[in-house]
This record gives sequence, structure tokens and C-alpha cells, in this order.
Amino acid sequence: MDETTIKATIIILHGRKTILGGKKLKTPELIVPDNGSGAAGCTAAFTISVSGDVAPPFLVVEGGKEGHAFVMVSHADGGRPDTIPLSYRLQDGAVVSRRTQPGFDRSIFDVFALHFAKFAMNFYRYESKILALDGAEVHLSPTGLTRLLAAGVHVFVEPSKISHMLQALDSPTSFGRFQPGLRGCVLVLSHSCVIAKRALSVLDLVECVGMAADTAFTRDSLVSAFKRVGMWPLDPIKVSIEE
Amino acid sequence: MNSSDRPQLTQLRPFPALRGALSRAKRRRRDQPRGCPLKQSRPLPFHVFVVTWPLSEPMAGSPGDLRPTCPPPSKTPRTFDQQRDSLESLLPRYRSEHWTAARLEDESSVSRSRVRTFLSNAAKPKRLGRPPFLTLEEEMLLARYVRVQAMIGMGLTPLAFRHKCAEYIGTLLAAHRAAVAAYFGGTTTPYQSFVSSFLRRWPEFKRYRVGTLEMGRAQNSRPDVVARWFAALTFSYRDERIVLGSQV
Repeated sequence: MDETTIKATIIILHGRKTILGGKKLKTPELIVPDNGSGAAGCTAAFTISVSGDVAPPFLVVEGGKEGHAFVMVSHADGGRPDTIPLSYRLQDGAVVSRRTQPGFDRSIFDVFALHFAKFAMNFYRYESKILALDGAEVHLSPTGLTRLLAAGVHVFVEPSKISHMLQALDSPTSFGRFQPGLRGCVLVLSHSCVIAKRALSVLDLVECVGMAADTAFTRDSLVSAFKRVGMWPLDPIKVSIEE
Repeated sequence: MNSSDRPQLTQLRPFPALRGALSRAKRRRRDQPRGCPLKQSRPLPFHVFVVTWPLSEPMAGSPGDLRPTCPPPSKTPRTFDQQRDSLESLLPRYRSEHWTAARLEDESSVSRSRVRTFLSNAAKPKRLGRPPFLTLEEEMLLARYVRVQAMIGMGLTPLAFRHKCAEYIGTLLAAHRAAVAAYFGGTTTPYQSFVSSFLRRWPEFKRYRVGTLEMGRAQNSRPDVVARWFAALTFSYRDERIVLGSQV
């Protein structure tokens, strides 16, 4: 499992998709769509398996209210607005949680642990499983680790600052494919938001994450990511210290 | 009895007890401000509307409450920042050259009362919470040590800083060490917030990050660390009978 931060504002500013450079304009203007509530950024945690399976993603979006994230969607015909969960744009079983700083802390890790334990219980129920995490302090929550252990998931913590060598998700075939895909999705959606004169909503951001994950995490790419770090098949010689 | 027989007012000698009271009453009358107008209850003409600012709707209550009420006067700061800055800049000269408060008042062009208030507060700075454990001289010594260490390229991490303080405390007398233990919660090593408190008291010291993420990665990615991790992973695979790729 590894998490990645998604900053929509920075992606849009660096992408410079919609630039106006008219005759009377001395300096070209960059048009950026307004950010809806919580659409500035989020943190996505993915868990992948050697067999090419991807656990339902776990997202943390900006918001003061704890628990599952819902949004109000208004209809064009002026009907009564609906409340929909943000996770419905992702695959089944995905969880989107809210936190004021859209990142992990121990309580969020506990929620993640509960979410992953549920998934792991339905997946080779009576077999032991290994979950490799980086050694961040926010992952060392006794409640979450106990939940995972109860579900038969043994947590294996990677040494500090070398997750780029030992973490399969940090390899170019997983996050290396996910991040460019996500940037492309966000830029396309922001461009359409500018044309439609509407704000980039948090729902759009979640949709981008789902699309990018579906495209990036294919079975072949995940197998090659685990091979690269030498976790499966177990091969310590695969890790090159000079990298 | 004609007027010449009557005693003149100036010749009247009041009782001795009333002498002081009369003089006090005269003085009080003299002390009253001259421009103070008498209380007037003249009604305003009909075409004059008295409206307070901001215009507010009258609230429910007796008709007496409908009268326009003046907003409370805004409280002006006793000493403005600019005045305080000028006073603080002149304070060293006041102390070294033994100025009087009047001289300071002339130099800073601040009123006498504010100068006196500033002087009474400047000597005793208000601080919240318990005082720092080390005295000012000890902290100066510590600050000099930190500066020298940084100068020779041996800048201290927060942990090393706390250990150095603990080394210093270890050289103190037993009674003093007991006081340290009482102050720091049963240990002679200062707690983590000691460093941040020290840095707040000495703003010339700044924390900085040594190296970059890449440097940290390069330092940590030693062959022995990787070998140990894979050894543990191998053991875990064998112990937990991990035979399928789906279990990882």
C-alpha cells in the first residue's frame, strides 16, 4: 500500500491548458477554473497485489466533517438536489473520507485499516496475507494494525526513506503511469470546466482518480512492478543500490 | 440696628472646623473646567432628526428604549506601536546615560504618563507560564555553544541539543538535579518542547533541513539495510506460508 498526493491546482497551473493570447493582450492570460469545495487536492491510497488485483481505492478529500464524504448535486431542471457519495464514481467498495488537511493521520489510517481488512477477509479468507507499508509515523496506529492482524493481514514496514526501492507502487510501472494519466485527466476536465463556465468540483477530481487508476494499474504493469523491487518472486538481487 | 452696626461678611469668623471645608469648597469650584456647559433640556425643533450611526432599528421594549443611544466610545490604545517603537529605541540611552523621564518624554514626544507606564512595564516584561529552567546567563552560554558548533559545521539536531543540555545538567549538584527532574517530569533530559521554547526565546537561531530527500535516500539505502529487509521478508514468507502471489 502506498499513498500519493494529488494537487489539482498545481496540476492545472503547471499544465497551462487554457491560455489566451489575443491581439490586445500584452501578456497571455492563463484561465483557471474555480475550485469547488474540497477540489484543490486529495490523497489517494492504493493497495495492489502480485496477482494484479487492485484493492478498492481509499481517498481522503478536504472537508471538516468526518466520515464518508457526500456531495450535493443539483439538477439542471431545478429539481430537489440529491446527496450522493463521492465513492460512487470509483470502483465498488471504495471509500472516500474527509479531513481538513487532505492527508493521512492515525485516525484516518484506522479507517483505512478497517476498509482494507474488509476487503482482505473476502480474499483468500483463511490464508495469511502480507501488506507492505512505508515506515511513516501515521501508519503506526495500534488500532489499525490490530484490525489488520485480526483479518489475517501481517503488516511489513519498509525502512525509512527507501520505499522508492522496496515499494512496488513507487515504481515507474505503477505510480509512474498513474501520475501522468491523472494529470491528463485533470487538465482535460479543467479545460471543459472553463468552457462550461463552472467550477472544478471534488466529484470531478474523484472521477479523475478513478479513471487514472483504471488505466494505470493493469495486471501486467503490477506484476512487473513487483518483479522490479524483487518482492515476488523473492529476489533481493533485483534491487540495485546505485539507483 | 443700622447697617454700620451689623457685622460685615468678611468680619464673620466661622467656626474653626468649617475653615478647612470652606477652602476645600472654593478650591473645588476653581478646579471645575471652564468650558463645561450647563445641562440643557431645550427641545429640538421638529425638522431635526437625530440618528445614531449605524442606523439601527429599535428593539422591543419600553418607549424609553426607543431613544437614540450613542455607541460606546471606542477604546483607543494606550500606547501606539510607533510610540512604543520610539520608546524602545531610546530605552538603552535612557539607561546608559541616566536620563530622566522628562528627557525621555522630550526625545520621544510621548506624553509623560505613557512614558512612565512604559518605564514601569519595560523593566519587568510580562511572561506567561512557568519561567525557563536555565537562567539567562546559562542560556547565553548555551546559545554561544550552539553558535560555535554551527560555525565549525557541527550543527546540532534537536535530539543532540537536548542531550547536550542533559550533559550539562549532569554536572550540576544533586539538589539541582532533583530540581531538574521535578521540572522536566522525572528525567534530566529536557523534553521536546524545550527546543522550540529555546528557539522562541532566541529568534536568531533558525532550524534548517540538512540535505534533501535524495540525500536521505542515498544515506539510508545501504546494502545492509536492504539485505536485512529481504531477510525478514523471506522469513515472513516462510513463517506465514505465503505461496501465492495474491497473498502479497
